[in-house]
Amino acid sequence: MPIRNSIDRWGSLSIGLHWLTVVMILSLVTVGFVMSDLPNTPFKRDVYLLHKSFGLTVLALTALRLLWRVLQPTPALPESMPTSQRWAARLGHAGLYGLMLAIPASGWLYNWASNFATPWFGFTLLARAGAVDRELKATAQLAHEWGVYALLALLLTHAGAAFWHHYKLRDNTLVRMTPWMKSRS
Amino acid sequence: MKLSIGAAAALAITASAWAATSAPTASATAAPAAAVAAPKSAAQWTTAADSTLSFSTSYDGEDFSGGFKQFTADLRFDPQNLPGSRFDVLIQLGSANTENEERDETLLGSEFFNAIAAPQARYTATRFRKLADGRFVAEGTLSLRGLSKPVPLTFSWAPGASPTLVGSAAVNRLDFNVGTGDWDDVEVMPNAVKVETRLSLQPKR
Repeated sequence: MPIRNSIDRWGSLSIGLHWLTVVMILSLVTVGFVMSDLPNTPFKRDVYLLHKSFGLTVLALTALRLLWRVLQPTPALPESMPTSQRWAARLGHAGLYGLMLAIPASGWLYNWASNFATPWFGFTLLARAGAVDRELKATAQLAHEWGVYALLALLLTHAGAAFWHHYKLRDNTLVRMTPWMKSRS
Repeated sequence: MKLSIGAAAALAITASAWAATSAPTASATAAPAAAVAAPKSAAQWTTAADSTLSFSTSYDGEDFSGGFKQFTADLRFDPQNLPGSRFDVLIQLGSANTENEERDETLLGSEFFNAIAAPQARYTATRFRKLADGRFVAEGTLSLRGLSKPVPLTFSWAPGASPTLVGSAAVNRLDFNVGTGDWDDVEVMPNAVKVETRLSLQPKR
């Protein structure tokens, strides 16, 4: 399989980054929901550090994916797809990319406004601010949490549409991203 | 013969014991008066609002520091009257501020200051000595989390109508069970915490 995309299929880089992001996001969301309830121990601090490190990784990888998408051809939507659905698809994907940037970015702001340094797997990317910014902290926290709810809703729609294409329309849309499955048509 | 010597000895011992208990004035006149009289109290001071009491340490290689916003210091101090000097400082642990709300919450919790159960720490000193470089040492006691341990405070005294006291001490946090259990790893958070104070003083009226 080629690394680069073509007009009718995703390359291995796009596929790899897609699924790597899926695994990371599902882990981040799960840990994110439970970590604030952990008892106050050094372990809780380590969990938070990992959450922030992986979150920043998703931010960076998404930026790279977007760049790749601009530089590379994107496989065409099925010919038979009506215009309204094309716009729904474009909006849905734009929404996913937007949230995959906005959620870690708001998390980063939440961290910054709380006067924490920016961590990345044992490194410090950015020193702490010096003081707490209560308003920014509250706003960023809200944006971070509600962003996740919106993402979960979009993810359900995204997966649902993929299954619709595969099981109802019986086209290659899903298989293009899951090449281990048998090809349609 | 032996009997009479023994009897004489017993009589002598009894007699001197009787003399000691029934003649208290004799011993008073024999001893120097200075050891019995109390020292005159040194000048009393209160702290002005810009006084600070802070602590600094590090966690996992990252330095951090904080201050106690609320503390009251009742000081009697005169460099010429160290025996009459006294420090009595009450520290409201709940006023600790390290510019990080999550860390402050942990600090007030039961693993660290345990501020709800024991809201105050207290530092008292009645013995002082002068160092060769002109500074002083208060040989004081810190009471924290129900434990009292000696903590010397080394300080400079800038005299005048509004004196300034600048001092520092090293407090071993584990001596007071601050940061126990999962937090007791001194490789991650050192045992010795540096405490610093800068007190702007006014005469107490």
